[in-house]
Amino acid sequence: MARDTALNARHFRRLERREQYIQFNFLIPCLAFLFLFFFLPIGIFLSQSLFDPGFTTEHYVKAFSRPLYMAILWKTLKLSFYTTLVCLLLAYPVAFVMAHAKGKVKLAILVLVLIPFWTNILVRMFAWLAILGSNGVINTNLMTLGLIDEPLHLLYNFFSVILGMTHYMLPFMILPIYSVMAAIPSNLTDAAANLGASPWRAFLRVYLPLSLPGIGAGCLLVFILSLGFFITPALMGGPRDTMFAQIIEIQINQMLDWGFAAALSTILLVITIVLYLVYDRLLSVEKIYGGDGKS
Amino acid sequence: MAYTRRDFLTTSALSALAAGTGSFAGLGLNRATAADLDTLISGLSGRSMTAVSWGGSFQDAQRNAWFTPFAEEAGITVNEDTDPSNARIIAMVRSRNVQWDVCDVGLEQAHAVGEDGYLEELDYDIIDRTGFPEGFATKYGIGNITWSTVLAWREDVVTGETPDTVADIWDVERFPGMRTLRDYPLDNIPWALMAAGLSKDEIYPLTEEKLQIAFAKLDEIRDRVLWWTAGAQPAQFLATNEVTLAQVWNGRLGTLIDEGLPIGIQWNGAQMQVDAWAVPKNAPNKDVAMAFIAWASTAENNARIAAEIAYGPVNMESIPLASDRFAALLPTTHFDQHLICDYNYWGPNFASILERWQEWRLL
Repeated sequence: MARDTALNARHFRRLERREQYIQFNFLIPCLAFLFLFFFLPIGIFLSQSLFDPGFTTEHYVKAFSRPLYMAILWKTLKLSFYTTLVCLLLAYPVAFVMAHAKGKVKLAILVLVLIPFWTNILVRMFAWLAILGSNGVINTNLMTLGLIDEPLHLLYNFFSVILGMTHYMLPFMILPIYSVMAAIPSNLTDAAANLGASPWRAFLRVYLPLSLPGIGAGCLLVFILSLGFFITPALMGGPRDTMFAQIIEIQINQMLDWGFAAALSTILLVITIVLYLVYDRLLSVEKIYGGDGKS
Repeated sequence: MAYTRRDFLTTSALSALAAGTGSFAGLGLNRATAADLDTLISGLSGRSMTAVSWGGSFQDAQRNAWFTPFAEEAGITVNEDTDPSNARIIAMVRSRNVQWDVCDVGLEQAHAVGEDGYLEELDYDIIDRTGFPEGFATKYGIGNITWSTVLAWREDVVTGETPDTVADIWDVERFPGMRTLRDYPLDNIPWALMAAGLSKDEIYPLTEEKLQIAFAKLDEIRDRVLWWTAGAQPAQFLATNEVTLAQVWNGRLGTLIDEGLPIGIQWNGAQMQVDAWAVPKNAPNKDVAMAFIAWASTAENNARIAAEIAYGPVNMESIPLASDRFAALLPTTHFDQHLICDYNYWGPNFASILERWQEWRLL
């Protein structure tokens, strides 16, 4: 009986391996495409950081020794962190309401979240300029009402950059959190209440930990997007709000030093990969895609 | 060598004389005559050329002044594209897929880009550069328009005292409020030096000491500055009242004035600069491009631009032929008050100063 089981197990494993082999073959065209049009060009570009044309470490030395680049990197990390935080605080309640809403209300909220997602980012940025400017909607209304004498400086500073970036990133935070919340069985909090927990305790001890993969996914996505973000700081930020991606752009377009730009890009890429690996260790990426997180 | 008023008057006088006698060849210079150019151009029929410039009203003006008339005269098709940034030119040449024939570029960077092998040397056997100030017709680029960076404000905002020189953008007591400056050293270093007390003649060539003076001066106002990178931005800032004083290209003010805004302009100390025609290396229609440049650089044709937009011709022989339409806004009308940009200095030095500028700006 045990021998039968063992034989069955081996047979089953062999079948599984064969199935995986067939499945892998289906992936080959896609992988080839990705390799040819994505990995290879990027690899060629990034290799310029070390081979420009002969082997050289001067670009990395410059990136780490001149104070400018590390300072901007640090500022970028901080800005991304704040954006992620603000997004999380705003997105969680929205996702919660959406997950617990029924029918038409849920649809309405979903549509409200998605429509800005589909609007061109430049249009949205210019809308903010019109709203926050010295002669913009907010300032002219406040001045007409007599609440202020001089226009408020709402634009071209840290505040406006966070505002613009949060505006863009919110759907990226709301949707992952929502998708995880939607999978949480609704009777769990009821069960906790039956066992004597207050609503707040039920939320804190049962619901919140279950929604953690969604929070993690949303935060990871928003943080990584913010790291490489370019348009909002350029259009809405002040002179000291320059982000790392803008530095790379300056190196490519103005300084025409592509080897150095490649070095800076590699640094950014490495940071992103490290973040991803850390996340995977802590929270397991597979869970977002419906895997069981065990492999 | 700085281009002085005396040189300007001399060249104008000479050109008037030449135009009067109608005999260019009589000046004893070895270059193509007008007749040679005509033969060259008529041989281009049926070809095409891609001209690339910066879009908007600027490219519209260039189209009306040069691209369309040349297309008609030579019987060719002129295609257009935008954003001839150096990075794109370099990328095209490197990938051996050049699609542009003639580009409008900044002369300060043309030298370095050309020396690195990305631009064709201009064919001065067919392009006639007499009449061009020294430094405005170089190995890889020849000026096509003159423009200046001036100081502008709204007269309904800055009532009372108005600035006397461009250096008054540093005067925060008389003119409080925000300013906008171009995120570029070529405009700001000379202005800063003038604000620090140097006269126009003392500015070029820049030295280490002068650079330090300039950056120290810029530090004084940096907290009140909105930096602009696109030409439309300073005009926009003035229109929406984001700034009190703006460092802006003279041509951009035309749109504001047309819209009815009362704009005040100060030309004293403004720096006269040029945009230049350049030909990317291995351009597909290189010969058409050279012929176009030769055609557009003649006195008669270079003058056309002044009828379309408030930029002046570079060929000094064009000045008497230029339209009056924008006379008040033309840099050549206020020639005396200008600082002439020394592209012979900027050519080799631009890259290093740009790097220093970035470091100052971003830290």
